Amino acid sequence: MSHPEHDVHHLELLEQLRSRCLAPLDSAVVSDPIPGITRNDVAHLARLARIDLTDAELDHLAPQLAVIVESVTKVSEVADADVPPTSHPLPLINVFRADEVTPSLTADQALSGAPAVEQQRFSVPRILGEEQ
Amino acid sequence: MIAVPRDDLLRLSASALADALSVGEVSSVEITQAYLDRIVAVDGAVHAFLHVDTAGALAQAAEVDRRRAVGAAVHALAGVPIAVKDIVATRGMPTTAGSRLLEGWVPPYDATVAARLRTAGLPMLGKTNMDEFAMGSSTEHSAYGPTHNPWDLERIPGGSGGGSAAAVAAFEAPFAIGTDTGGSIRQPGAVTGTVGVKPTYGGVSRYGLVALASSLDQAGPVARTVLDAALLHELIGGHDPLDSTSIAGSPPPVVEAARRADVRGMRIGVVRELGGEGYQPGVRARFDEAVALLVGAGADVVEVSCPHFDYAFAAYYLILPSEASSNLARFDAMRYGLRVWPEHDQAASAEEVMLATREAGFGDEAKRRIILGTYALSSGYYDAYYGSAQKVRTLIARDFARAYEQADVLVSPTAPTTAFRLGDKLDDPIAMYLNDIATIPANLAGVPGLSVPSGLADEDSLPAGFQVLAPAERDDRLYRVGAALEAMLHEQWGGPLLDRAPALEGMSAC
Repeated sequence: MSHPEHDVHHLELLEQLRSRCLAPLDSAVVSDPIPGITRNDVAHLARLARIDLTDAELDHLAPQLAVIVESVTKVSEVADADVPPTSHPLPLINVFRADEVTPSLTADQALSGAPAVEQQRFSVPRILGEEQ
Repeated sequence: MIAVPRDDLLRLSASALADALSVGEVSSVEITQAYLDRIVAVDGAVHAFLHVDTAGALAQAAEVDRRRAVGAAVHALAGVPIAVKDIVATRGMPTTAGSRLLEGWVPPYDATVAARLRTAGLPMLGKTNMDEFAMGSSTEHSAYGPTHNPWDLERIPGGSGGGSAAAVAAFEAPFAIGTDTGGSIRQPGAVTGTVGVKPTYGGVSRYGLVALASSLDQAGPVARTVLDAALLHELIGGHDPLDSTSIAGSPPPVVEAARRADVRGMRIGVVRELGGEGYQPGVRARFDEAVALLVGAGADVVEVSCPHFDYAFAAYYLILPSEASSNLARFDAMRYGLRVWPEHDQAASAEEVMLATREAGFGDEAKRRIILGTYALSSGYYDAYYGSAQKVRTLIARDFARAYEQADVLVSPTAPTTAFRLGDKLDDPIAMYLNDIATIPANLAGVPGLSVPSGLADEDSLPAGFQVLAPAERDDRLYRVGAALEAMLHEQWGGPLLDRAPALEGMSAC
């Protein structure tokens, strides 16, 4: 069942929200203008994040990420130098506990989800490359 | 002998079920079996559950019945079954967080939330569907397929906790556990006609939740009534030494507040920035009517302005991906979860295995957010993006502080629109993100929020939600306002909103 009129209405609402809460695209609100995020940038970032993206994914994700990155530059409109940053919603205090032995996972429990186990240890691929 | 007819068992609130159990009118096994049968009947169509633990739930129910039979002291909710979002680690029960990366993972330990449910004797019916790692507003980013909204199976149930909300709305569970990082309890509540509460940050332990954004994540109750949400909130809330961000001291008196349901003399602040343009007319109409009801019940209404809320969305989509990219780095294919070897390379290095595993294991949305977070945290861009977003977070907290000088609670529509059709926004990330526009500020500031049904929008006869926000650690105020509004609306409607939802009978073949 389709309601075409309603869909058009949804799109209008969406545009209104976009214009209220996101930076207009192609704006240069960041004082040090950041050149749009490119396909090569995304490939580099994916490598840093250890995700082996395919060419098709790069084609698909790069333009989407460029739009998102440009939209969120809106934060720089109000982020003045004299505003202190907040990393955490409530004040954090250091928390101590008594230095007592408490029951913890057995070795078998700790290894129960491991992709591979050998001699009661996590078995992992080689760490060093051929030339190292 | 069953004193309460089976169909009525499904319609009863958790609170009424608890009362019936305590006087022996019904057994936990009977209730739990009724819900398991309902899941069999309708979940083929709704797909709220990723895992149903029939044997485990019935065993827990039988154990509670046995304890009651011998006169042992039990928790008031003992024997009332519950559904749990699949982001909560449950010992012996699969926990996937909606991701292929954790397919088949069975945690060797319980999250504190799960442990409290077990200790209190609530049979766990199963684990509910969600967007992968709680990233989304529709459950369409679940690696295991979307959940369908019980009001219209072609529409989204909200997200990320669409499974918990749909399970409760479809009478597949009396109540459920959700988690809310930017609205994942409240927005699904709004679009499914159910009640959802995000407690104050630190009010409920995060120990054993699969972490998305650690400074924003908070677990909370999903229910059909405000009192049920309060009863569950009280059970799972309170200090936990296993979570260093857990609030010490006694939790707010939420159950008492829900029973009091009285707004006389309360100052209610309508947030100018969370309404108006961009909000669906039918959603706005139900909101305005709800405010008028509260005024009629003796509340004072003031308009408040929180000018930086218009920047919350942008700040959130820098802070969340940044924290997520860091948290999800733990999925490295070494100690648990998926391990994928690159094709034709059994001598691959750990790094190459990691690249192949994360490529195969993460879905589109997780990849988008991890890359975005990696970008926002990279040197050279850190100050412009993550640093600026943290400053906006300060400005939003200040807006809240000023607003709470004028008002005891703040109110707004929970979501800008009713449920949209499955598929409509799947590949338009920003359109999807904007569903959380009204819920995000609370997470950034750590304050509690509740969504309660406000009625059906005129355009599409789908549920809309009314959001209440309170100062940190004053979660009780949410329940006072929510329960008062709920009582007035039920009287107006002649019963709960969910009475008007489709019956979904005989839909298992879908």
